[in-house]
Amino acid sequence: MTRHGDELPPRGGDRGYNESDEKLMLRVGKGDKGAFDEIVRRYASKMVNLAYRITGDRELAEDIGQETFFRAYRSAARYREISKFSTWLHTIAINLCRNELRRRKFRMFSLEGMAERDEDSKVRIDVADEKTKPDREVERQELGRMIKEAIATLPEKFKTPLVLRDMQGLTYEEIGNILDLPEGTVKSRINRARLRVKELLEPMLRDEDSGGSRV
Amino acid sequence: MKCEQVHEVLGEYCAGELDDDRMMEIRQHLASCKTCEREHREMAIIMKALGDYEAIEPRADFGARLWHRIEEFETRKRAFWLAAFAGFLARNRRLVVTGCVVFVVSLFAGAYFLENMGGGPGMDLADQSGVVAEGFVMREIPQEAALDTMFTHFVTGDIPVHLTSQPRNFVYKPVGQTGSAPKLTF
Repeated sequence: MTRHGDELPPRGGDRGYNESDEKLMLRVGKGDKGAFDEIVRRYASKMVNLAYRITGDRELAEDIGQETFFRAYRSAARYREISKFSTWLHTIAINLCRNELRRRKFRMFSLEGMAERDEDSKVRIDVADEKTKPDREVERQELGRMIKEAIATLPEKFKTPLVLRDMQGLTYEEIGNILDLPEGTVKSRINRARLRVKELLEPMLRDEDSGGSRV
Repeated sequence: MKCEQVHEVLGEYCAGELDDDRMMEIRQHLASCKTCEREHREMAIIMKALGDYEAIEPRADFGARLWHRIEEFETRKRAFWLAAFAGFLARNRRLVVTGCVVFVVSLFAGAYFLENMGGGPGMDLADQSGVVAEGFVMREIPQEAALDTMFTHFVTGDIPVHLTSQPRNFVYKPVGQTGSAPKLTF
């Protein structure tokens, strides 16, 4: 894209931007707008998806993605190569997600009618009607929906590391740097988050065990 | 290995994040424990579903909207600073006028100084060598000292000296000196 174009910028190689993110950011700080286009091209999808997976809201994710890059641009002149650029950008996005969740008292995809809280405050997620006998693709979509709901019920401190690791594919070390947590704590939170999701979906999975394979 | 211990690390086992010995240990346990094997199957389904989680694409005009916002911000920033500067000028009219006067006076004073201390039609050392050399006794002072003395004349102005920008050689024939005169290079 040109910087006023209607779509994301073309691949960096086409425009001669083959440098590392950190070098590009230093160029942005000196006023190179093309370098910023390249940064956006590299990270737009990652940031929007990260926000989507944490908040569960497509529109909100888009807004957070915009705000993340806007803040990065504003801070470009002060940017120094003290940390990995992607870590810095992820930190901005995650802080924005946290703020949004806090501000809106986040209930983006309500569990009303799908999950209820019983006396023990345990979340239960309703499983699709057995009688419908969905085919394999529908089953997969159904599992995706339920996973989404299960993740939504996780406290933020478990949800964010889980999203960063199992959906965004970051290493434990990177997650530790982004969240400013020791690697051990990160591992433990991710593990607990996985077990919690499994626990929430167990009724459906057990049902599958008795009725046939799912996914 | 106890079942509880296996359950704790099933996620890492499914993701292949454990070291080889631990992976082997768990594999052996799963082969002999039906309950854990079921837990493992369920965890594997969850892990796969997490990995396959729906991905979305940013809207096609993501970049354009971002630039629009950045430009809007920069325009506002410029307007803010202009307004702040205009406000400052309005509030400090006397200070600003005084500052301008001081600036103009300094400019003229500087020009006058340059004109009279080096930039004007002073005496060229090359033409006035006899005058400059008048006070020197070259046989008794080294060449560097002679240069220092001339520089003093230049600064104090008691003998007009004009240093040209180009290096030039000068030959002095001070009073009472015989033989070849030393060459001084600027």
